[in-house]
Order: sequence, then structure tokens, then C-alpha cells
Amino acid sequence: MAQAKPIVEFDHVGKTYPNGKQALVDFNLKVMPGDFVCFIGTSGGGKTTAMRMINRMLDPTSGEVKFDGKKVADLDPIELRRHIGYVIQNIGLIPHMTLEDNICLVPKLLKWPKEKREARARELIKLVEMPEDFLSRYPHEISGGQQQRIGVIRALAADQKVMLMDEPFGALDPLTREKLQDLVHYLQHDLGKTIIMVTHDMDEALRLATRIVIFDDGRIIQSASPAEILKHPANDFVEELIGPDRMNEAKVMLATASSIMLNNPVSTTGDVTLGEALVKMNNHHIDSLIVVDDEHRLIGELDIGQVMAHRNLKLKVKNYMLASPRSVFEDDLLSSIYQTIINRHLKYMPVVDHDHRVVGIITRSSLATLLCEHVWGKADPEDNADEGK
Amino acid sequence: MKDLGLWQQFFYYFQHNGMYILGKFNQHFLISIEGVLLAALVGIPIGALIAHYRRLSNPVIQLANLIQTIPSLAMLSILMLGLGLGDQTVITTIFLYSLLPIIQNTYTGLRNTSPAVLDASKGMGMTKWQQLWMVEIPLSVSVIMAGIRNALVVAIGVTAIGAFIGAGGLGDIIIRGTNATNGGAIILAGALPTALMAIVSDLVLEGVQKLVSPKGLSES
Repeated sequence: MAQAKPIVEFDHVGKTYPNGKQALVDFNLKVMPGDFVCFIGTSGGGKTTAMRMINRMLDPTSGEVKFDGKKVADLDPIELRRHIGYVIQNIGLIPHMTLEDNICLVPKLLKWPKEKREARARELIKLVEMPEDFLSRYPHEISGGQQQRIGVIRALAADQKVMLMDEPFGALDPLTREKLQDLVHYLQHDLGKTIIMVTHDMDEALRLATRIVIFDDGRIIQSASPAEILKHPANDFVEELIGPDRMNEAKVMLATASSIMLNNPVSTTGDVTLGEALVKMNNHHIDSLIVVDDEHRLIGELDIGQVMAHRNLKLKVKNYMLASPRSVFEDDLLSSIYQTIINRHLKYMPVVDHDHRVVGIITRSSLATLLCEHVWGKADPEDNADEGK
Repeated sequence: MKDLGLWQQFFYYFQHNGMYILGKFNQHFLISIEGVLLAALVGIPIGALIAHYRRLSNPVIQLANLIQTIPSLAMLSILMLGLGLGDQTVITTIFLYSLLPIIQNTYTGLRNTSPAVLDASKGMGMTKWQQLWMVEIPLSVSVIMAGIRNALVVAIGVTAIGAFIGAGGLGDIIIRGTNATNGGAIILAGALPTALMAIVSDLVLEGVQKLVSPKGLSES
């Protein structure tokens, strides 16, 4: 299968204003069809500049912007803009046109027949759950949130595949904003639109984007998936942008098994006797053992109860252990592990690498520690020292 | 006649010269409206032009302002030297006077179109002309109409003075009154319809202004 072609591509794009100010420096980005890309960063960081180059509201001073494989510089800007949805923060509905005329503006510019336009308007207003008789209203007769909903559907009335949004929900109250975020998520996720959104709201970006591009001072600081950005912020600027609360939350959400596991769990091979295993348990004050093969691969586990049930301490461990026990990989997300541990009342869970070699275990208490750290912060080592006295 | 009071004389004059006054009234009105319409035809495009090429706006508006400062009688006399006696001189004068309010209001109206609306219209793929016709003009039509209203009221006054250079109109009656002994009633017979015309056309244009301004604009 052929590799999908990027629908929007920035190729070493730069923008320098006549006064020497560099708004954008060597910007490279490939946006695939169906992507939801968020541009985020400080104001004046170049994010709006970059976005406005796609529909040629601005032209780069160096490099090429491509739309659907064609250089936008070679395309007629008017024609290009009619095929790219455009949503702005201040909504920009045309006040003397009814909602229907506003929605159908681009189809009208493209000379669609009247019936087709009317049908499209009805279809779209249903999409945003507004009554059909709103179509004959004027923008000032509806609320700000409703206006921006019309602003969004206006941008896809001619079935534009790519939508540009410039801080579209910045001026809305949180509740309305959330509803509109659901709407654009639906457009991208379910209708397969490609969306490029400029925002200053990190929550919005983390919630919606498949890729976040972080700008500062005309340069890309980081361009990655939300999870990747939370896990590995490129520098302090990104961390600051994400904020300590979200970083902390992300640490929990994105923590992997290896981050909280206890290293070097007590293990044994299958060839020792139950008696020897019992001694080992006793020495380490534990009630179960992980059984591994010669290459330290997990093959089973032995519980003290099993030993006691047999009494004959000369028997080999490998014959009485619980074979092929449950385990998790070291890079599994805790969020996917914890339920198993809690629901099945497991005391612990062996952690293995991808060759099934045992690297550690997670106990219920390591989960509890993580939880406490998240809620009350890391335990202060000095407190422990006090207790020790 | 001498025994009649001023108002009685006035009505007497009106009864006996009704059709004459009506004729002068029509003539007066047509001269005024002709000058204003010509100014609108020229002024609105100029206003639109300087709204888009803002560097031109200052010199153009300054020039229109300058014209406005010339007293109307002086303007009529100067133009008369070139254009001779008659209504074409008055129409030209009105044309020149009307340029300022029309250009300025067109300019202001177009400049005040919300930047968000313009950005959205451009971003959706409207050409410059489409932006002008579909967005900017409809949104500023009431401001432009206000300029025309203003111009017409001034024009009616200028036309009255235009009678001095033989343009006709109600000014003729006023001049006749000033020349006659005890001509107060005749002056009134010319002046009152002139004032009435100014007031009524202002009211009518106000109605027109409301009519042509697009429905969706909130009342404010």
C-alpha cells in the first residue's frame, strides 16, 4: 500500500518582515489527512503566521508551503481559500446575512445551485443540534457559542477537507468551549477532516490534537503526539507551557510499570527443591518466589501455601510451581495494569522485558505509594529521618 | 394689499401664484438633487478607493475639506466666471460641496467594517470586489446614506443662493421679495417652501436610510 501523502506540508518555510523581524524560521511539518494538529506557544511565536500561510493569507519569504502536493504559491489564492475551511476567534459571521446565507457563503461563491445550498444548510445546522428555523435568523439574534458553532460549520459547508482554526474557542465560556471541542473532535475523528488549530490552551491541545507543535520565537521547540510531549517535554519552556499540575498528572497517567517496580525481586530456578525455596522465602521474609529459567526468563511462581500443601520438601520447585503466571511488560502503562492487580487481589505482579526476562515486580504497596505521591506530593526524606530517631 | 397683515399677504400670494411657486419648487429640488447625485456617483467610488489605499485618504479628504471652506456665494461667483450664468454652475457648486460629506462618510463606513468580518470573508475566498459588494457596502450603506442626507440639506440652501446667478428655483421668489417694498410676504413665500423642502427631504432620506440598511444589523 502506498504511503499516504501529506495534505499540508511546510518545507523549510521562513517569514521575515521588512523590518527584519523573523516571524518564522525554517519551519518543517507534514500534516497527514485526518490529523488534528495544534499549534501552541507564546503570542508572537509564529503559530498564527504559519497557519495563515496555508491559505495564503500570508506568503512565506522563503521555503515552500504545499497543499495536497501542490505548491500554494502556484495556486490562485481565491480558489485555494474556497477549498480550505477557515474559522477565526472573533467568529466573523457576516452580520447582515442570515445564518443560512452565512453557512452557504462558500458554496455560493462556488456557484452551487440554490437547492443544493439549502439542503446543505439544513444538514449542517442539524449537525450542531440547532433548530432548522434558526436558518432565517441573523447572527446578532443568537448567543456567542451558537455563533461560533455556525462559524465552524460554515467552514465545512463546501465539504472542505482541511480546516484552519485560529484560536476558535478562546473567547467562549468553558462549558460552551467544551461542547465546541466535542464538535471539532467529531469532525476530525468521525468525519475525517484534517484540522490545524492555533490555540493557547494546553488542555485543548492535549485533548484534541494528534500532534502538537510548540512554537517559541518563530521556531519549533517540539512537534510530537500529546503523550510524547507529556512524557518527554523537550525543554523547560515546554514544561512550563504544560504546567506543573498537568506534568504531575501526566506522570501518573503515563507512568509505566518500570517506573514504580521494585528491582531485583527474589527469584529462584525451577531445579531447586521446595525446601530450599522455603529457606529462601524465610531469609527474605517473603511468602512467594518468582521462578525463572537459566536466562532469567519468567517461567512460574511459587507461593508459600503451595509449599506447605506438599510437605515433601525434596520435591523440585518446577513441578509444583504455578506455571506461566500473569506478568506485565516494563513499558506497559500503569493505567492499564492497576485494575488487574486490584480486581484479582494479586499481591504482586512480575514485570518482564520483551524477552520475558524478569526485571522487577510491582506490589500493591508500590501502587499505593504512587497514589499517595500524586495526592500529597513526594514524601520528604527528612520526615522519615525524624521518625527513625 | 397694504391693509392686509403679513400672513394674509402671504396666503394671498400663495393663492394667486400657487402654480408658479410649485414650478420653482420643482426646479429648486431638481437642481439640488442633481448636484448631490452627481457627487454620490463620484464620491462613493472615491471614498471606496481611499478606504483601500489609505495613503490617499488624507490628501483627498483635505482637498474636499478645502472646497468646503469656500463661502457658497464666492464659489458660485468663481465658477460663474468659467461656466457662465445658469443652473449648470449651481449644480457644479453643489457637486463640489457634496463631495466632502459623501467621500468622508463612505470612507468612514468602509473603514469601520469589523476586521473579523473582513478577515473571515477574505479567508473564505471572496475576491476584493465580492468583499466590497457583499460585505463592506451593505454594512456601511447607512453611514453613506447619512452623508447623502447631509449633502442634500446643504444643497437645498446653496440652490437658494444660486438664484443670484440665474439658476431659478425658490431663490428667485426670495430675491423678488427683497427687491420689492414691503416684500416680507414674498420672501416668506420663497423661504418657507425652501425650509420645508430641506426638512422633508431630510425626513424622507432618513426613511430611505432605514429601508436600505440591511435587516440583520441590530438597532443601534
